[in-house]
Parts: sequence; C-alpha cells; structure tokens
Amino acid sequence: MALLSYILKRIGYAALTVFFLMVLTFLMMQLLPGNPFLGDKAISQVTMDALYAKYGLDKPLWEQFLIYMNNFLHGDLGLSIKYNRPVNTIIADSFPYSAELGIRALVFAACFGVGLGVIAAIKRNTGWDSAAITLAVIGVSIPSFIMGALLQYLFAVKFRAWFGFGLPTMGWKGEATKILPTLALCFGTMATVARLTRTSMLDVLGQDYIKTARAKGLTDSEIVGRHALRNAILPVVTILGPTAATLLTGTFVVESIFNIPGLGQFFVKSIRENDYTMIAGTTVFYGIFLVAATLVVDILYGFIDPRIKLTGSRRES
Amino acid sequence: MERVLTIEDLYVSFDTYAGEVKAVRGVSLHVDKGEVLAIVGESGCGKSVTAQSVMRLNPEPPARIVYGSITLCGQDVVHAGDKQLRSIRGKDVSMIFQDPMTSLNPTMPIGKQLTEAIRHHQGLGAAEASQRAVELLEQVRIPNAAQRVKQYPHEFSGGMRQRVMIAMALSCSPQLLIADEPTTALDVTIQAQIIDLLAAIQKETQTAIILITHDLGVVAGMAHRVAVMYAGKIVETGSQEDIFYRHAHPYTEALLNSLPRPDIDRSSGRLVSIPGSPPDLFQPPKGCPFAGRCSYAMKICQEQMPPNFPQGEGHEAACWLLHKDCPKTMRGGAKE
Repeated sequence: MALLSYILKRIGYAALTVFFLMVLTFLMMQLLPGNPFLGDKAISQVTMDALYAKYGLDKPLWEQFLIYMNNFLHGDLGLSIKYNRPVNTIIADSFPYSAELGIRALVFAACFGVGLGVIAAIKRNTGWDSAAITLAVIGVSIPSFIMGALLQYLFAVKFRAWFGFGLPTMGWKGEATKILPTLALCFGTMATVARLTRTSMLDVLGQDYIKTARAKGLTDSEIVGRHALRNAILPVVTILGPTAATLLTGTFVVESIFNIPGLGQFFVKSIRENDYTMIAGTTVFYGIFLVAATLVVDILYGFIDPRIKLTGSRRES
Repeated sequence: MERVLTIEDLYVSFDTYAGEVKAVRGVSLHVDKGEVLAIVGESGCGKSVTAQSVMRLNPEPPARIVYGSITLCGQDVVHAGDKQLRSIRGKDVSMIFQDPMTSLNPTMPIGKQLTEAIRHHQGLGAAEASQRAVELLEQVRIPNAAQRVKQYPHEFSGGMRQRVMIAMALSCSPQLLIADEPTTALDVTIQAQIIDLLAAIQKETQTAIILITHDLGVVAGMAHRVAVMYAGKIVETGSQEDIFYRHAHPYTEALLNSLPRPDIDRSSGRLVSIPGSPPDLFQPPKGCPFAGRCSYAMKICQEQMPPNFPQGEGHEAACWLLHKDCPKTMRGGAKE
C-alpha cells in the first residue's frame, strides 16, 4: 500500500518533470538560428509564409505550445517538418533497433562489468585486479567512435585477412551483424560498472559482517554470493538506470558507424535541421525514458536493501 | 580437565608498507573446558589479534603467524589448510564481535544469518533450520522469536543484535567461544544484561570462553582466569583472585588503580591514569615493554626482557621485581 502511494506520487512528479522539460525544449528551440525551411535553394518570402502557415509556425509561441501540448496529451508528437512524416511513426520505426541494441549492450555491460569488478575486488592487488582495472581504464577513456572503428578493423578487416572470415560491419540483420555494435556500445558502460563494482565490493568486503560470515566457516564464494554482492550492488543499480535510458534510446555514434537505422541519428540531425517537432519529440521521448528508469531504480532499491522503505508520505520516513 | 585450546609461544606480525608490526610477541595460554579466560589490556596490546589467530581470522596478508603453535581441540590451527580452517570456524570455535551494529548483514533476515553456520556445518534443511533459528533466539531470551526471525538487523536494537550475535555463535555448540569486547559498544545497562546472559549460557552449556575486554568490571563478573596483556606479551596471568588481590606486575597494579572508585581520590577530582603511551610495535624495546611507564623501573628493565616468575599455583608474572635477588621495596598504590 505504501509502495503504491509512493509510485503514484513519483509518477506525479515525473509528469511535472516532463512538462518542464517540454517547456524548456520549446523555448530553447526558438533560440536556434535559422529555420527548418532553409536549404540549398533560396525560397521566396511568399513560399516561406505559406510553409510557416502550414506548420502553424506563424501563430504566437504560447499558442504553438498549447497546440503542441494538446496533441502530446492525445499521444501525437506532430509532423516532422523535415521528413514530412509523423514523429510517432519515425520513432516507432527506428526505436526497436535502438532498443534491441541498447538492451543487448546493457545486459552485456551489467553482467561482465559486475563480474570483472567482483573478480578485481576479490583478487585485489594481483594480476587479475590489474588486468580488470586496465580494461576498465581503457574502456572509460576510449570513445565509442574509436572503439567502433577499432573493432571493425580487428574483427572484420584483420580477421578476414588472417582466418578467411570476419564479422560484418554494417546493418542489423542476423546475429552476426549485432556482435560488433553491441561490443562497441557496451564497452564504456561495462568499464564504468566494473570500476564501481570493484570500489563498492572492496568497501563491503571490509565490513564487519563479512568477518562474521568468515567466522562461520563459509567459503569465499558463499561469502561473496550471499553476503557481499547484494550489499555492493546498490551504487551499480543507481548508475544503470540513467545509463539504460541513454543506451536504449539510441546512440548517434555507434548507430552511424555500423549503419543501424536506429533512433540515435534523429537526436542530432533534428537539431542541425531545425526540425522543431522532431527535436521536441525525441527530447520528450528520452525524458520520459529517463524519468521512468530512475523510478524503476528507486523501487529496486527497496527490494535490494530492506532498510530503504518507500512510502508516499514524508512523515513516515 | 579437558584442554580446549593451547597457544604456545605465538608470534604474529603484520607486514605493512612502513615495516613489520610485531603485534603478538610470544604469547602462551590455555583454556580448559567450561572455563572463562579473560584477556585484558589496553587498545592495541594484541588481545584481538591473539584471539583472532585462533580462528585464523586476521586477514593474511598482511597478518602472518611468524612462530608458535595453536592447538584447538587437538587440531593444529597454524598449519591448517583452507578447508580444515572452514570446518573449524563456526563449528569448534566461534566469535562474538565488538560492534553488533555492523556485525550483522543488513540485507539478510536474522533467521537466515542465524542458521547459516548450522546449515553449512550440519547440512540442515530449510524447515529444520528455521525451527532451530526460533529456538536459538529463545535461548538468548529474545521475545516473540517466531516473528523476530523474519526481521532484518535494522529492526533490532543494539543489545538485541548482540543477543543475536551470541545466538549465532552458539548455534553449532562450539567448544570455544571468543567474545571480543562484547559489551564495549553497548550502553551500561545493556552491558550488564549481555554479561549476565553470557554467564548464564556459559553455565548451561559449559562452553569455554575467551573474553577479551578492557573492562575489569566485566572480568570480575564472569572470568575464572585472567591474562593481562601489554605490547604483544602476556605480562601476568592467574586466577581472578590472583589478579585482583595478589597481583604481582606493576602494569596490573596500574590498571587496577586506574579503575574509577567511589572511595578514593575524591580530593584531586581526577581519574587516575597510567602516564605515557605503549611502545611502538614497529620496534619493540628489547627490555620490558612497560619499563618506560613503570614507577618501579630499574636499569635491567630497560635492557633485558623479564622471564615469567611463578607466583603460586597457575599464577605468574613477567617482572624483574619478582626476581629473588631484587631488593624488596614497599610497593606504592591504593592499599598501603
């Protein structure tokens, strides 16, 4: 019951957050120089006026916003000025690619990141630790566009030269094409997760209750599995929420390099092209995702750590 | 008398970046079945390191047993492998720690933590284990045990948590229980309850206990024998009466004098303390470690380590004043 009222309250806050996000996006778009209709060819003033009228851009800003909000509440993100297709359709077409890539990368990053972090913490100051940390530092410091190109070079070009076969570097059809983009996308997150897990794990392994567990005669794996991991995982869950939102809604760089028709490109292109509805649409979509991911993380806290009680009212806590 | 634990000439060092810290330097002690041995001494004197060596619970590295032997219920602990150590820990010897607030896993229900050792060592099923958990909580006088086993540590008070720790330590009916300052982190009324509980359980189960403390009141409450430690060495050992009424070592005397007492020193209005601080265990002095703070120190005390001088049945002290050639002086202190 307490959980339900907590969730309802959080959804209320989430709605407010999204609203402010929309207002800000709407205002900031107006600050962009140029307009959506500027292209290679010069357009006469008459045509320009007609285009403005067609997309409702001739109305005062507040009216534009009200119309946009009204449509938004009816689930309509408007018509993309550039592509002349509904933003809803564009997102519906491209999001599944981004989501699949994102989920793969997230699962991979979480599993291997936590695994590496735990190994590094348990085997502290050994070769294992150094190897894991080196990998993590590389992962954090190499940007994904270099990582993507490196992977393509190694697994596609060089493998073909050495072994006569290589992984495909383009598209999103069949398992083989999905390996390299997933690796390229997950590497940075995996490295961050590994470092965080190691730090958190080392902290937990120094706690008194780990000594208590050792004094019971438990094996190292029982101590880590039953006592340490659950306590160490909390900070990792914290960062995985926002990271999930980022990974799932598509990334411009990785999707461009591997030629994946995902959502990521629209975040960047829409701004370059002054595609107002597309900018607002992608921003709101990402915003809702982020807010939802944060809420899920907060609810997960309550299940991981019994000391955290989620309640709707301020007084109970 | 059945011997539960024998420690002979134990040396334990910690390898740190700054060098080797000689934390325990030649400790010998023994505990018999049904006996309570108190180890007293100030912080950093090696009490906990000695006790934790019995379970090999000091993290290795940096800790290292340099020399000596530990025999627990006939088993050689110093040369035991990981597997043998795990079978000793929790089953033959178990431990209660100082701070009950941090010694329990905050994300695991009490009942599960309580029975973990029994399930591990005796292969008990889940149903039997939860039944046993309730019995254990009842044994340490926790009301509503059946409901309490499902709760988490943060739903227990400090004293209750220490009771849970005691129940946990007793779960496999160990031969030896090590209580490492079990009352230090608790407030005074709770301290008394925990000590009473420990003493009662000790009488019921006849478990041997090593009680580590710097609270001499706790020692008087339940110890049969006392070992006084200073700078990694046992300076005096004897029965409780020996230590309180017939102590022979100046350090024991100084410890007893620094107890707050209602009947003396009201004039100065200050608590009595031992001047100075313990020696640096990176480079322990070659003579008696207490010489620098001792009111009776002689030349030889600085130069040569005093051997143990027997003072009667089971009572001995390491102090040059007890040497037969040492001129007898009138000892100062509260009694004269």
